[in-house]
Amino acid sequence: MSVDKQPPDPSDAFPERAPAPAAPPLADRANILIVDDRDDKRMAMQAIVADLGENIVMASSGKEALRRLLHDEFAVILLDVNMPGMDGFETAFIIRERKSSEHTPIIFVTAVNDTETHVSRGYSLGAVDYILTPVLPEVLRTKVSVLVELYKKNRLLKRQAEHLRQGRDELELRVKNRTAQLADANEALREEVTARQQAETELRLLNLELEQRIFERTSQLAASNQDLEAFTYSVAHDLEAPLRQIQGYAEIMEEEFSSLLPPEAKQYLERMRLRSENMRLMLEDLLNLSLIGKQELKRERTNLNVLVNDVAATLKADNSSRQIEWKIDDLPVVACDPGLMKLVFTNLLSNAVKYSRLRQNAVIEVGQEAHGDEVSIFVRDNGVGFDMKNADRLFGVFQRLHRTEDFEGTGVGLAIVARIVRKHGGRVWGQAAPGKGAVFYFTLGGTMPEPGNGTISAIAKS
Amino acid sequence: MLMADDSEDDRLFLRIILKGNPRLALVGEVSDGEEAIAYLSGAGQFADRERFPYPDVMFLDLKMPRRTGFEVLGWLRTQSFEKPVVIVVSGSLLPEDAPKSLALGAAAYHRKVMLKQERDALFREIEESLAARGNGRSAAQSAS
Repeated sequence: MSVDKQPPDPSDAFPERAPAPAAPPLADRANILIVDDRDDKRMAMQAIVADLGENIVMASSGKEALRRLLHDEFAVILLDVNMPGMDGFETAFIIRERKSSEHTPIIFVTAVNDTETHVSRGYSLGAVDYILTPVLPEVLRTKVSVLVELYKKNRLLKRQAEHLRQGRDELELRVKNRTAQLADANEALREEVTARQQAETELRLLNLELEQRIFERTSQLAASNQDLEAFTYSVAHDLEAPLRQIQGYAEIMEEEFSSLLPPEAKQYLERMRLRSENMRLMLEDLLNLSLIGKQELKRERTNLNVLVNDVAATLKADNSSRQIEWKIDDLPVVACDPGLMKLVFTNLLSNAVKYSRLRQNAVIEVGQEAHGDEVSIFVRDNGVGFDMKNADRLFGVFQRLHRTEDFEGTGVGLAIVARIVRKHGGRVWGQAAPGKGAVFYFTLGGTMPEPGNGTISAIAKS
Repeated sequence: MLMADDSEDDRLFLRIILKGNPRLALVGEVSDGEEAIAYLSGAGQFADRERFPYPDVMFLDLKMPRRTGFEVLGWLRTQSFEKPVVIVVSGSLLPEDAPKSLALGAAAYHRKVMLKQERDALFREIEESLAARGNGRSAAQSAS
């Protein structure tokens, strides 16, 4: 700041006052310290800067000024140089020593004639300016206003910086919190994933264990089945010889001693013979049945029509006296065991012939039918049929749904059919109504062609 | 005729059947394969060919203890002396037994079913086999 050396301009005696700015609100006001030992000079200076509307604090000595400076921050200090006791410069020196006021602008108020000394003593303190008495109000006001302005700007900047710092701290805190939250969430997620993976592994192990157990159980069952079949075979086989011998003795008795036997005795012997023969047939059937299980299934491309025609021809010849209409449709070519399949048709067709014995005009049909996406073969007759409520006994061994007096048989034919069909991986079922004939369907598992197509579409599993 | 069967009842039945044909004389009955071989080779007590003449025809059961019918057939093939006509008479239902018996040198294979059915067929086969071999032979030579 420059020292004002020029004498006051007469034309400035009554300077036009710039319109005073509106007084700032209380909180925005800056503090101005006026230090002078003389009341009048103090009052005069106060009057001049009062227009600025800032907060004016007065001190009448260096000491008092210092005291004031302890309590508050000031935008500018107007400091009289000539004061008793501690003069302006000494006061200023101490002011500068305090951290809180080391940069507070000081305007020394001094008389013109002391300029050189004052200037040299003052400048070393930094941030000083001089104003010469008599004070030109406008000059004083301008200088103070500039410094107040500067102070306020600084203050604003500091506040803004503080806000910024606070904001940044807050943000950092929030970021830290959010990071902590995320870390927690991550941790929780990681734990969940681990738990999930563990559960998966456990499940997989359990599945494997289950599959292993199923495999074992299936093998056990298969072995058990084989045992059962072998047992059936050996029992049937062992029962044959003594049975045959019983029959033999009955025959010998009839032959050798018929003249000695009363008619009832001969009758009893005959019954014995018949029953023994019946039992022998059952054993033979049982043996055949158990042998089917033992056999290896050998699959060949088989024309079912050829098989059926073969079986039908034999039956026609054996039943030439009967009126039977044979309706044999086109059947597919399948991969199956021809020998066993022939047995299936033999049993089904001879059953059809047998149970339609009471019909004047028996009709036997053989054909193929689609069931969903499977093709099945059927054999239908218009014979005596059976009651569906007994259907679950149809394929049982030695299970008969008719009296032996009406229709002979051991009740093994359908059991044989069922076993062969199941060995091929297929299903067999029957439908009937009493007096309305019966139809038997069977599928052969993976060897059956697609509906509407007469050739193999898939080669059977080995 | 020599009969080899481990079942007393079956031997009885066969005996009764053979009674019906005067041309056939039952000269011996053995109850297991080893005895059959002993008889044919004239070993032990069977060296006495007066009491145990060498047979023209042998009825052979398959299922016997100590040596089975198949083993006897096998043994016979290794022998150089004149072999009897062997008729395998078996209670088994196994389909492979018939061809196997014939392959091992049996002249015929019969299942043991009821007497009446067996009889005529049996006699016929015996006659045929003997004729093929040349019958009217006298007692068998004794084995060395």
